[in-house]
Amino acid sequence: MAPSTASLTPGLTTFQKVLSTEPLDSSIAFLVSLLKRRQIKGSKRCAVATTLLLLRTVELTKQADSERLIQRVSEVGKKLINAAPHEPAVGNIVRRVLGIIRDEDEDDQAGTRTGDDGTPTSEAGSDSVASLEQPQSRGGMHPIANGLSARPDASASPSPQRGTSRPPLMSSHTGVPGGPRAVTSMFSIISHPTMRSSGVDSPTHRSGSGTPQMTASGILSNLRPEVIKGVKEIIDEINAADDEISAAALEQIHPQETIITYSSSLTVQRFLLKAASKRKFTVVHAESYPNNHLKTHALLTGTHDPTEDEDSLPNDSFSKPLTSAGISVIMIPDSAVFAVMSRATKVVLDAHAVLTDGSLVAASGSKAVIKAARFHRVPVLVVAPTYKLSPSYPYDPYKMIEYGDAGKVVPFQDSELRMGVETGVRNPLYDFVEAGDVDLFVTNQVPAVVSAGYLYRVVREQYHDEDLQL
Amino acid sequence: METVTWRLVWDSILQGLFLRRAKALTSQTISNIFLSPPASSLSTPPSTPKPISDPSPSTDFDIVAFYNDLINSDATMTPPIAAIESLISLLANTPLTTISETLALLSTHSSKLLASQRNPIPLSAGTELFQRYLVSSFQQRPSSLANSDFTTLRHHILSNSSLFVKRANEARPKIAHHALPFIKDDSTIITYGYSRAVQALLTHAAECNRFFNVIYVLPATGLTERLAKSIAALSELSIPTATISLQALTYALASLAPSAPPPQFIVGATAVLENGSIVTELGMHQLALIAKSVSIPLHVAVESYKFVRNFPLGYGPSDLARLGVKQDVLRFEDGVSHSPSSQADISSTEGGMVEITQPNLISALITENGIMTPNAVSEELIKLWF
Repeated sequence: MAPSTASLTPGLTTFQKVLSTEPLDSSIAFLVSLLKRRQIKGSKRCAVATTLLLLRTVELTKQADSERLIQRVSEVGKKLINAAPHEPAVGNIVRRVLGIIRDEDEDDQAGTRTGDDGTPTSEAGSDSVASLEQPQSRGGMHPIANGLSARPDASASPSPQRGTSRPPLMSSHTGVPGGPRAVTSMFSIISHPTMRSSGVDSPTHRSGSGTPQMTASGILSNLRPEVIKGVKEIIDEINAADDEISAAALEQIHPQETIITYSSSLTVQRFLLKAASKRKFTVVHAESYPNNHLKTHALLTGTHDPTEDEDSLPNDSFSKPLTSAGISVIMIPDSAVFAVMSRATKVVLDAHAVLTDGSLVAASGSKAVIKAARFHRVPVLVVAPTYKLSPSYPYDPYKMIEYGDAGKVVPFQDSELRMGVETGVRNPLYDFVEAGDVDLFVTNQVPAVVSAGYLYRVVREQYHDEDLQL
Repeated sequence: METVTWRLVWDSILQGLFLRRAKALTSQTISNIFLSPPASSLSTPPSTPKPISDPSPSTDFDIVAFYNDLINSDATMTPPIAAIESLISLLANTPLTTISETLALLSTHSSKLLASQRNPIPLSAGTELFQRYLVSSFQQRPSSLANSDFTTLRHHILSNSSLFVKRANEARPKIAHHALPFIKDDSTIITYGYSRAVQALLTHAAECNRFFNVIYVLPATGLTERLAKSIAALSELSIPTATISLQALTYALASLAPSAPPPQFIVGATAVLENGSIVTELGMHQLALIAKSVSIPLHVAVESYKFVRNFPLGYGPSDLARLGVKQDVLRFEDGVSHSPSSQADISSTEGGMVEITQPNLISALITENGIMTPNAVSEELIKLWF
């Protein structure tokens, strides 16, 4: 809280240092403790930290066949998930990494079956590839650690990178439905095992593959570099997510609109900035007292001080205020949201997590904004990078809400008031907003803009069905 | 030698039972067949013009009676599964020699079965699923059977069909498993109508030592024997159960303790249509509207074989009629010939009636493939059919 202690408390940067110097087990323990102490918080940071740790896990796992990798990654993943049940991003990343391993494993098996595109690399050759990969990958982590200084490497060209990183991911996604997913679908009723095992079930999926699954997992030695590549793509994806989402801004925001937004979100900020490059509109910004108003003020005035928290991610350290882009910005207190809503043409919000049925966990107060928008029939648009899309179902939504420092609501110095409401002071950090009130979600996945009803498809495409329960 | 070939051709025509066609054949077309037998087999396509007389092989198997027997004898049997079982035993009891014969037989008897029912929607789910299953198993039969004759193939399919039914029956335990996280300790579950899936999931939850209350909403037509049995089964599991009538529902909801975990509706359905709307017994629509207005989630526990590939354009009686349901709630009487309808009258007329509940009132479907939103139904169907 106090700025002087900020540099002393460990965070993402410290974690990265630990990760590159300490053995894996202690890095795991370190991240677990960081998550538990909320020293790494927020979806994006959690996602990045998880990805880095899992990348290291994949690199350091001995005997990297798919089974072993899956087992190891889910072991580590479970520890992290248990440490941070309030951060669904952790689980999402674990599932993504598991999905990558499964995809690569499948591709490998398909490769060895159809021909020999995987076989030329011998055991020794691929080993050396893997060992070459390691120092390189450590270098790959630094761009995130050092922020702007090392950025050219990672961000030299966001759009080409997007072009190169997307297709392999998509191909792996589209490859899935023919594979294990079909087993869990309704088709399982009308297909019987004799057909399945004889390999006739997927003539379109793997053409000309007559040989049964002979490949022992042991010979899949070129799995590791591929997986490492995939995991690094996740990191790139997380960093590029905001930019990719903002690409949809021009279609969503029209001239002379009045946009209401709430709390401080860099994703929304970029989205609006992108629209501001071509359009003139008005933004009404509610400040989100008491948890986020200082950050909101900083975002609006552009005085966001990157040195204040040393943990800022590379893309986060720089932000231009909307006013400098020629947008008139009106800041209102949270209490005025309903009154101003009648003037708005659109509401753009960020979320902490988006669940598969279209409900979301967002900064506390978001529910009031969304309900006000519903009352006035104002369309609500939620920006949701893929790492926030969680496949879990909100069985118990109130468990996802975290409570913060009650002193922000009633200061501890105010003894009189505190005595009066002795146990009654609560400061929830998040709101759970049930499905049905959000009209559109903007993601960095290929359909980019999805209606709430079909969000489940985007979420489902992210993960393998086997990994939904971790 | 010539007569022998002639006889062979004649036999095959008879077996195909394209009798009308055979009658139409003049002696000169027969001689054509003589000259080119392959051409004749090509010219008898499986898509024979829609039957006026019965083009499928004649059989004395009474599918309607068999179906009714099945439904009445086994309480765990759902209409789609019973329809599938009936079709399987139809296949087993009819001598068949070709694939097109089989398919023609199935389609005529399916429509016969559907026409015999007041509410054919759940049955059509089963019959269409089974026909689809047959087509796909003909298309992708194991290579060992690719070149063998039809008898072995038929045998293979019959033996696998029972597996098909068995798998479909495994759906309910899976639903119970998926539904478990919904049922929290001390929560209240409100259910309506007789449903095997709901029964299974409540039983499973009780066996997993969840403590919860159940409110059974009874229809205006009164307690049927099946309902009474399932309520008795709940009390045997020592689940606290209250039975209320439909008109007491809103009052009962207001009487729930506000501090307890939020209540929820879990109901079953006889069929799920392509847009995610459900077909259930009369009264569900009212219940769903109440649930929506008091913001209580409505979950539908349903096996995915009840998904029907049929997209309703609305939710009214005309849409049900378009789906083949024969029912009429409104019967205006002048009061001279009849006294006002009594309780017994209502229960006899409204007993088996159904209605559609639209998807925007449904929070989630609990199927054996997991929890899905009503929107996901169409995709599941696409996966099945294409």
